Amino acid sequence: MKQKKLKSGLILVLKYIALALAAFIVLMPVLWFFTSSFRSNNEVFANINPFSLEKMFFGRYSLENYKTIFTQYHFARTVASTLFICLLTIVIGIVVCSMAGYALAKMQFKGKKLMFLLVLFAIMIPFDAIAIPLYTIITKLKWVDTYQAIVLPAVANGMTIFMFRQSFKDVNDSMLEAARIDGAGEFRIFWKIVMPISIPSIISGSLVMFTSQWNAFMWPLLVTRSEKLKMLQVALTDFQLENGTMWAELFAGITISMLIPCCILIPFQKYYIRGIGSSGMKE
Amino acid sequence: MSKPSGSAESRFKKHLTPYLFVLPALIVLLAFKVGPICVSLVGSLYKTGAKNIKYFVGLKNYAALFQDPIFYKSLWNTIVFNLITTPVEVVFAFLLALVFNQKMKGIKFFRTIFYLPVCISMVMATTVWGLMMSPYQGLLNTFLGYIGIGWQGFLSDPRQALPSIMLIACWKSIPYWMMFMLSGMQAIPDSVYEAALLDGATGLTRTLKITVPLMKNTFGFVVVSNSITNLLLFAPMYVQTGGGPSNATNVLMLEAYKSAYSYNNMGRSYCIVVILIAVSILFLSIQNKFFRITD
Repeated sequence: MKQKKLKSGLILVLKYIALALAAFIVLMPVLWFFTSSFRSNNEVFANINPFSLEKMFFGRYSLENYKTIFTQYHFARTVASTLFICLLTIVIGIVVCSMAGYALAKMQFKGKKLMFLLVLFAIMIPFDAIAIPLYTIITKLKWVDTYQAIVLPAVANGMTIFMFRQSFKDVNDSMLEAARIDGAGEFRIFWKIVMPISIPSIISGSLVMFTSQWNAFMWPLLVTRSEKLKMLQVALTDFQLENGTMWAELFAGITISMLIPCCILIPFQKYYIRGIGSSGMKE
Repeated sequence: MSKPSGSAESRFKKHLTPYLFVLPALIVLLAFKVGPICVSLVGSLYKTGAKNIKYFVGLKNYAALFQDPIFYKSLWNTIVFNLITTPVEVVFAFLLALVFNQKMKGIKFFRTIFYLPVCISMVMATTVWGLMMSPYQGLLNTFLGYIGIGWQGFLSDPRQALPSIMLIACWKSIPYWMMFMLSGMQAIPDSVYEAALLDGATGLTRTLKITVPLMKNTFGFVVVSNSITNLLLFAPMYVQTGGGPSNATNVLMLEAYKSAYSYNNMGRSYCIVVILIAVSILFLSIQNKFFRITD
């Protein structure tokens, strides 16, 4: 009995060691650029070879790089304008997608089946695959370097429409019928009754749109030109200059760019997973 | 507020309302999903000549593409990348989810650490790893030196470049797909396992006979979504290697971008886009056929 207990205890210790090792491998690059973001460019490279954990963790810490990117590189403006674009996408996206989802879930109309097929089709078309012809359309519309060029293609999101449709289908019909008898119009019912009880779906959709816009790189690179519309991931590549990269500053920028997704994605991951996976993951 | 429900006006309004609800979505889906597909389908049949004059060439762009060794090289790279990266990511994501599904003290802490790569963008993950893999001043070569393995070229070595990018993609994506695996795993009720325990199923049998079959749709979702992601992944190549050295990391999506914006050959670019869209749709139709139809 005692031996068995000892054995299971040993296995547990081994499990923790394996976990810690795996976590270290995953964490290593993050720890490295995080600690390096507090050092000067010279120190970053001096610490690479020879490498010591002691130097990495207990070296000099200074906020110099953070100061530089905020004062000389207008990083606050970049973050603010990226947040604004995310917010714009979320507001328009949630309104457009939830309304379509509601009609598909609760209303009868001619062409409903066709619309649903269009939504399923849209889910099948990954954004990255159509970016090149989409850019052609944006140039034809003369939308290059405008907010709508970044926001509207992201609003065309079949996955979110589908997710809303699924969640609205569970809304109790008798409740809607009661409101109709009271004389409320469809729009009123939708905004005052259906939306307030669909907060989880709104969170899911918002998270998906937020992360995809926050991490967007190729699309903003294609369609934006001006400083005003420069998005975060594109701005980060500004630290890579012709004659070498300002690594320490870049690391500070990356650290900040990670902070917000970490704060919302980790606690709300259940919502995020539902937002992405509602179209195919349910068992 | 309430009007007599029989009036013509209110009946008209009642018929119109659903269309008002779907109209905005209909417009954006047509303009930004269907539109680009039409543009690439039509555009792939045209060639742009001098002074931007387009003339119809039929399937000649496709014919030229299928005779181009660089196309085959990038097709091959895309296939190799997908065939290796996707299974590796799915298997490791599943194994990690198994570990993180255990009831151990502090498991949440470890799980949080594993989510950090999810929060960093692919481009920045590639940039950081690019420096770590730098031949002369990279951290990885320092470590390899310590354990007695010689200097490696990584992204600058034609034979190691694609595997290096696979490694970066795995670091970033395994934790991401693990989130979905874990969520699918947690949806399996404990009572199922308890019943299995009574039948004497433990350990590996339990995993293979109960966990895997009950996660059929999760697997379908992760495998297909992951395949499509890997099919279209080109940002790491775009920012780090530009498809080199000697086309070793040139994938189809990158070739499409290069055709469009470096070689000014839109017809060729659209051809590649059409092929990639067709493959994506094929993958998803397979998911719908073999796993559950999305309803």
